Amino acid sequence: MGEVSLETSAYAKIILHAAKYPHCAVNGVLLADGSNIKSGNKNQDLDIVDSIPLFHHSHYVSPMAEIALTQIELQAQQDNRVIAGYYAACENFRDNTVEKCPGQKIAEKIVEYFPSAVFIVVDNKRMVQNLDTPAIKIHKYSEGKWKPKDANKVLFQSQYVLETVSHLLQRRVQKDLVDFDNYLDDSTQDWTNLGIEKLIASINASNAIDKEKDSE
Amino acid sequence: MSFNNYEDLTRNEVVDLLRQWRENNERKGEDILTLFETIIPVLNKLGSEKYLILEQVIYAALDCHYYETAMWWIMMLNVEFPGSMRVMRYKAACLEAEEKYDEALEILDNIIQSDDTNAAARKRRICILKAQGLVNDAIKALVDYLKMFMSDMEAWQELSELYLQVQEYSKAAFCAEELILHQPHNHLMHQRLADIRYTMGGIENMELAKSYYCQALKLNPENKRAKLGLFLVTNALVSQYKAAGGARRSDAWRLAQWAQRGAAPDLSAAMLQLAITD
Repeated sequence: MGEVSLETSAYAKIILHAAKYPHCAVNGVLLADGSNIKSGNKNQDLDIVDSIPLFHHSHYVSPMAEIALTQIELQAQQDNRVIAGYYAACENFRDNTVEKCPGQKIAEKIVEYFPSAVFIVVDNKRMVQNLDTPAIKIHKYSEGKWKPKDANKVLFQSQYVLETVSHLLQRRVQKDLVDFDNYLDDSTQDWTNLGIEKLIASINASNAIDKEKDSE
Repeated sequence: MSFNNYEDLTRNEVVDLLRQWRENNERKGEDILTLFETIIPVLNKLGSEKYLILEQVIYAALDCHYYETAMWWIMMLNVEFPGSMRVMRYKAACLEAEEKYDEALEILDNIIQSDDTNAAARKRRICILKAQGLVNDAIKALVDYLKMFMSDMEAWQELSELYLQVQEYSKAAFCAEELILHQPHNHLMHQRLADIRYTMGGIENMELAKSYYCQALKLNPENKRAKLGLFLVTNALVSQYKAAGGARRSDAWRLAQWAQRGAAPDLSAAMLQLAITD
């Protein structure tokens, strides 16, 4: 119960967003697959399939956050997904706790509608080009506070996640990531980042082929 | 703008691009270093622009944590300008990047002691406080700085953001107002103040937010954030005035309709969700 697993593209987008703006705090929401979700329950198993990067500035003012959340909610309903969490990275290298992250009110709002929501904090100290441990910490909401969940045990859908994301960072794919702020500045940009999803899907596919070859 | 293929640029274009980034205060550490490699051969022919570019490169190197590169160029500047306080400031910045805050503060204090009017050294002190996570001390130091150097736009902006970080919205709004006084024709300043007022909530703040969003749109009709902000504010006002009636409500209502039509058409579904209909 209460297992949280992350798809490659969700994890990748979080790390790419943080890498694109190393000098800013960044935040975004997490979407989970809506098939097995019953909205009122706490401690459900979550399968986080996607993350939407939101902002890299003006974190403490709310109007754009409201617009963004409404739009994401609408899109999520169409794709049978649920807003199931929030991620943030702090501006200061040494801040790695929930309290120092921006946008906690957004996270609290998400938890109001979805009690099993998670809060992912990006661990600045573990963000390196060659990732050997996941650079995130997951928190769950209980008794009015965000408590860290099972430290060091982050479940990924694919075993190649860390290599894939390291590869993306080395190829500087973060330049092509679009967050909601970029979309507000230029409405031709795609905040769902389909391009990056396709890239990750193709890397996953070639990993799967290699794996089959290896096991032959 | 994204020059993904830097090999295509001529040396003059590179220098122009670096100048553009300098003027817009863009923080593109890696790109600056890559471009700089291409113009090292012609550096001496650039005249006084050479030193501005070197300064830009030093900060870019510090941003990417190439400390030896940065020190190399700082030493080059030192050779050309021995004993210069400006160069000492870069040495302090290098120490700051390496997190040797005490030594950096020592150098900066020396600069300030010998030159009371050196604004940049004082600002770097405040940056060090912020880097150490001492936000409240940084705020105090910045307030003292602004008492002396009241027309420093950058400082007012930073103070506004620091206040927002500690959730002192009214003080942040005050700083944003100072920014508008300094740059009354800049639509971003009006929009920022409107954002802060909207976040503060309450009818008066909503009315103020509404007028600032309108001003921002007058200055730049394409400002998407202002359009969306105006939409949100007018909807909030219409629902507030539901109980009352009369002129204010119908004004807000008309503005809401205008905002709904004017704001991005692709967001129309989302807008309808948020919109209040009679």
